[in-house]
Order: sequence, then structure tokens, then C-alpha cells
Amino acid sequence: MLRYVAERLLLTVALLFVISIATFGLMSLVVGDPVYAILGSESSADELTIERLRRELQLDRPLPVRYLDWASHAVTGDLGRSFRQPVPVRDAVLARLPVTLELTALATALAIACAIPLGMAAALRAGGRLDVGLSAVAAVNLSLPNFLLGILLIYVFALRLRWLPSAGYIPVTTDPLAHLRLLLLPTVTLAAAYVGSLSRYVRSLMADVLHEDYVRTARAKGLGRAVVIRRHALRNALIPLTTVIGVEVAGLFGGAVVTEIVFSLPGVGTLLTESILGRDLPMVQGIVLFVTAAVVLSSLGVDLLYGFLDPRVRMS
Amino acid sequence: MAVNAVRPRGRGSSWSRLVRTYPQLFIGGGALLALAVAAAVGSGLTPYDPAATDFGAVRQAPSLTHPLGTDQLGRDTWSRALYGGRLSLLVAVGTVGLSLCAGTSLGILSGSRRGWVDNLIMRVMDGMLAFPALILAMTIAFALGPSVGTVIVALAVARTPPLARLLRAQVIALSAREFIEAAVAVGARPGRIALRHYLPNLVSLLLVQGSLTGGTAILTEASLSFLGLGLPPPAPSWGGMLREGYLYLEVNPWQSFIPGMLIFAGVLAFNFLGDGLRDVVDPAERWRRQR
Repeated sequence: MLRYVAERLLLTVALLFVISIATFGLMSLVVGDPVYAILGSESSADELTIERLRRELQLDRPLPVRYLDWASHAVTGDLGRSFRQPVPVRDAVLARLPVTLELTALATALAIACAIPLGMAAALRAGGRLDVGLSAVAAVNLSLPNFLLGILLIYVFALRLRWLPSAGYIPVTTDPLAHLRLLLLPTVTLAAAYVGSLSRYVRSLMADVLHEDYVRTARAKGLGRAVVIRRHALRNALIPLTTVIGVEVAGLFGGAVVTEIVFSLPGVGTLLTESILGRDLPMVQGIVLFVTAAVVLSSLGVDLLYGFLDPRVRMS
Repeated sequence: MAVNAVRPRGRGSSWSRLVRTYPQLFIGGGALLALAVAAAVGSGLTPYDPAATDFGAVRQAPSLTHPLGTDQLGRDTWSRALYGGRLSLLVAVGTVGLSLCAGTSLGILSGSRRGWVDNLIMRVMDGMLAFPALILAMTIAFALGPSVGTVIVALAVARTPPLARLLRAQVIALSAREFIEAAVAVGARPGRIALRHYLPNLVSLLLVQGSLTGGTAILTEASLSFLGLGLPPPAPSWGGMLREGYLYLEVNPWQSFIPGMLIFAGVLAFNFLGDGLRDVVDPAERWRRQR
């Protein structure tokens, strides 16, 4: 187990190094001088001011030096200062983070809660009406842009039926009920994309396990069908599901960006979009690094959990 | 009743039998063909200029004069949808071409050379896979500035790592086969082995992955435009139309529904084509899925 953990950790550090270089490299490609992004393209600032600002931003130094400087600060949690707002990038991200985390966590929970029973039912009656219906839904699901689903949900539930508010955000401390009502539609929107694919995974994992010898043995020794499914089949089928969820994390963050925009939620995705539109380079750079590092670390977490749940993984 | 039960499944001409065996292939392919024709004919299918404003007819629902209605500036939605479709198709074709080239080269290189080359390429691909595809595309579009080329490059870069991985796995599986061993044994150069021995055996996989990539490209391009990070406003794109239409969801829902449904249909068409092609090239997989 120790060797497995050490290997995973080493790989994660290497990955973090690769993504930090990729992020920095991308940002150094940005067309146009960041100085003009701050001053505005039609600024009448004289050469001296521009030169001073450039030195202040340390743009006069060579790229590798700037990378090392940025990376060594990033490791300590310092992601630089925003061009647009008088705050450090880290504080701006941390202020928006709870909304994104809550949205993605709720959506993941909802998706799993729907996918497990649906996938199980489909596997138990392979080729049945539910099974066929589910694969059709999964195909449609894959093609349905989540912003379109979000807009349709807003149209039906907020504008026509007037059951729920259409968009906005109220902190949970101000009014817990209003908070949840506002998060309901975004959660459904983000989860919907995964219910289809996850339930297909559960179905195929379950279908594989149902053909295993130990399931037949359990039935043969006289255990009831429900007990065998619950205690023998489901438990073993769900272990690989952890890796599947780990793989989906990256996509989940991407979906969260669009969902936050549709529902005007003040999350990290909204901040990223605003920063790109406002050409706020340090902010974009910081958010991209932060999000990718979060994806890498959560997949590390999933890998370790998987190794813990399934001894065969850490042995090989 | 009993007679019906024993009647063979394939009746009628060979064409209609083919359509009935692979419905997805023909629905998806047909829809894309229609889109391609509409994109090619373009202005011939509409009397309106997609950029012409008409403040006497703003935010109209579909009618005889404007079959898909008009937007907040009185521009004809049908004309804008046509030009937006041309853009979507262009982006999809460009992305498929670029990402297949990059993914195939990297996959073959990685899978056939192994060793440190393989390790280096795969670690870089792993690093890129850690970026959520949409966020990677957003960042590249930000860095390179808005243009059709940028969007294509952004989407292709985001799509290359999974393709390279998939192809590498396939190449490794192939490299154990006798015909590759034989080619190596007679001293064929690596480039010849890649082009004459690996590539032909990857074509079916590339066809399927290419169509699925087309779907992803349309979806991600629409997402970028919806976020305001695609092509700048006067250029009509489905995602951009939805972005503008969304502001008027309450007064004129058509302005959101129509571009939204077009995006959905475009992505679905590519995915149908991909699934249909998979059924054709890999019937065993189809049987496995239905088990």
C-alpha cells in the first residue's frame, strides 16, 4: 500500500509541474501587451509610465525567470494580484469557491443518487423497457448542451409555472430556504449531464458482476435474490464507480462554468468568464491553475480511495 | 401471427434493409448532409441578409415572412441560423481534421516507440487531460484572440489527448500482431510501418472517433460563443444567438429555443453518425452493449 501511495504522489507532483508549465506557457502567448490591458488600448500614457508599469509587473525579465518566480509563489498559495480588482487572486478565488463547490457536490450527489437505482434496475432486466429507454436517454443526454437544459428549466419552472426563482444567489446564512430554492435548478442542470452516462456505467458494472461465480454461488446456497444483489453484487459493482466519478470531475468543472453563467451564480466559473472578458491575465492564470490542480488532487484522492477499497489495485 | 414471427428480419431492397439495420448512421449522416448543403448554398435559401436590421419587426415569433422569427434587432433568425450553421460546420470539420492528425501522430509515435518518448508524450497528455476541456478551450481562445482559426485550434488541442491515448492503446495492441513483427523483421522504416501498417488498421477507429469529435466540437464551440468567448458579435453563430436570445427569454422564447435546438440537433447528428459507424465497423461491440 505504501508503495502504491508513494507512486501516486510522485505522479501527482509531476502532473502538477506539467500543468503549471502549460498554464504559464498559455498565458505567455496572450496577444497584446498586458500593460495596455491595464491602461486601456487608447491610453495616452507616456513612454515613462509604460516603462515603469512594465518593470512593476516584472514583464522586463526573461520568461523562465518569471515562471520560476510565479511558480514558487504559487506553491505557497500566492497567485499574484488582479489587474482589475484591488485584491489578491487567491482571495478572489476563495471568495467564489464555496458556491462552485456546493454546486458540484450537490450535482454529483444527485447524479449518483439517480444513477445507481436506475442502472441497477436496467441491469436486472437487461433488454427490458427501462434498459432500452435508459440508453436512449443517455444518448440524448450526451448531446444536450447543459446551457440549453438550464434555459429550458428556467423557462418552464421559473417563467411559466413560477414555482422557482429564475437566477441569482442568496448566501445560506442569509436565508437557507431561498438559498436551496435558487440552487435547485442549477443542480438539476449540472447533474442531468451525468445521470445518463453514470447510469450506463452502473448498468454495465452490475451486468458484469451478475455473471460472476460468487453471485451464482450465493444464490445456489439459498440466499434470497435481494440479499445477493445488495450484499454481493452491488458492493462489488460500485467499487469501480469511484474511478468513473474521478474521471468525470474535470468535465464537472467545465459544466459548472456554463451552469453558473446561465443561473448568474457568483462561482469560480463566473469569475473566470468575467476575467477573460476583462482580459485580467493574473486572475485567469490563477483560476486555471487552481481548477486544474483541484482536478489533479481529486483524482489522486479517488485513486487512493480505490486502492483502499480494492486490494487488487494496490498489489499490481 | 406465427407467420410473422418466422419472417426474416431483412425484407425489401438491400438499401431499405441497410437503413433499417443502421438507422442511426442514416439519420445522423442525412442530417449532416442537409446541414452541409445548407451551408454550401447559404444565401440562396433566404431573401434576407443575416446582418440586416429591421426595427419594424423585432423579436417576432415564427411567421410566414420570417419562418424562424426575428431577434432583438429585427434580423431574420433563419438567415442567421444558416450562416451560423456554416460556421459550426467549418469549426467541426477543422477540429476533426486537426485533432485526428495530431492524435494519430502522437498515438502511433507513443505506442510504437515506447520508452522515454512514450513516457514523455503520455505525461504531457495526462497533464492536458487535467484541464477541463471547456476551460482549456476558453484559455486558448483568450490567449490567441477571437477568430475561427483560434476556436479550431482551441477545440483541437482540448480533444487531442483523449484521442492520442485511445490510439496509443490500439497501436500497442496491434504491435504484438504478426504482420507488424514481420514488417519490423524485414527492416521496414518506422515511417513506412506507421503509414502502411498501423494507419490502415486504425481507420475504422478514426472514423468513429472523428464523428464523435465533430459533436464535441459543435458543443464546445457553442459553449464558447454562449459565454461570449467565441467569434465577436456581428458574426452569426448558434451559441452567440442563444447568448443574445437568452436575455429575451420571457418576451420571446423562440429566440432561445431555435438556436438551442439547432445546437442540440447538430451534436446529436454527429453522435448518431459516430454510433452508427461503430455498429458498422464493430458489430461485436453492438452485441455486447445489448447483452
